[in-house]
Amino acid sequence: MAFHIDKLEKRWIYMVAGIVVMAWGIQIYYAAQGWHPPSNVEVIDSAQLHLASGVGGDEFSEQNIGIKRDENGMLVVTMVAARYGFYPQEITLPQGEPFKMRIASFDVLHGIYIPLTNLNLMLVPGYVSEVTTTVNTLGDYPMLCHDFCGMGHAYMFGNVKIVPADEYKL
Amino acid sequence: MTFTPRSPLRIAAVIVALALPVTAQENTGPSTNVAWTINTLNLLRSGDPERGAKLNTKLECATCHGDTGLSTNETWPSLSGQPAGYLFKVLKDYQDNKLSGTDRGQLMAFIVEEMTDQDMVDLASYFAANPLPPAQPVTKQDAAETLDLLGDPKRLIPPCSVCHGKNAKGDFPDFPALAGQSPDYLKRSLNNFRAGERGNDVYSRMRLIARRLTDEEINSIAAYFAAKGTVLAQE
Repeated sequence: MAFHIDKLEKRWIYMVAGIVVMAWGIQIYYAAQGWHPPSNVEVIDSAQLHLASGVGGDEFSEQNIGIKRDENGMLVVTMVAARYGFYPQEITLPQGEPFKMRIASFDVLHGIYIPLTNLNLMLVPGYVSEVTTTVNTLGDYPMLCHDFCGMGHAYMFGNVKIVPADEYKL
Repeated sequence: MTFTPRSPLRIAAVIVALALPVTAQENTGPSTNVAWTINTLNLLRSGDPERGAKLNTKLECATCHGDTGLSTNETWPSLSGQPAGYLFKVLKDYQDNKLSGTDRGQLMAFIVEEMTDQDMVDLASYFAANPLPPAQPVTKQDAAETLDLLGDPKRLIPPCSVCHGKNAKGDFPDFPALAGQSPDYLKRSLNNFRAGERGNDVYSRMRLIARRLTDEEINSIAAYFAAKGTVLAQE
């Protein structure tokens, strides 16, 4: 070799190259297995979210959004994120009881985050985002959009009220 | 039923329709049947402004909404400069009886009854190609300016401008322009949204906002947006 590379430098170069190759390996390995971000993958036609005609049916139509219990007695919150708000805008949930959040975007990329809880989802148009979680502390929480969605992003939020389970009425 | 321009039959029909009592229809289905799918967007792109200009006269839109979509009367809205998507959606909503909660909605439902989708996009592209109405005299409207630029987070009201565009020029696909619009019409629309008589806003987005506005704010908003219009919107 025409130029000298120090032994120590060489060692670092090998280490960095090794990390890069390992990262590629992990990516390719999981991509080949069809892995994807967490939560369920369920497609829906975001443009026709308010109609029954699109892919995914009318689960997120205006009549069907809100809080319901499914056949197993599980609380299911069906919501829509649309420029610029979450609909229904204000929801009430019981303390300490698990609920399933199912939410879809009507237009562009949105996100939903309820601070101090682990409810944090990315809402990609064309997909239903779902998570099951429990809120154990009473109080009023905001629902925030945390993925830039347009000029009204900073104004996109709703309210969640957590009430004692025995006072909760659906 | 065939109409020739300004036939006595047509004029009589319009008068009868105007005199009909308002029978608010229970809106059970979705707020609108229009969805911004690829097919709808392609249909919108196929709009022919020249044919639209002819239809404006032939279908007598011009009688109330003016030759270029610039209404000559405070009571009828101007259509000039509106986003084509909004015009198409509203025509479709009239036809689907989504706006029949008011007497004017019923009149429009009657007028657009026999229009085809192509007629609607042609008209929409014609009015969209025209400039916004000229600005009306400016008066300082503090309440409306705050709502336009900052909204009111405590009442969950986002700013008007984030959807209706900078200087209220309207936005893609179906956010209407408010600039230079007749204040009478703006006031009437907000009141109709508030009363639930107008409900073609998907997920009640405008109805929820209008219910939280006071009468003073509605008056202020009407004067504020009327004072925008061409001059300001072209900045």
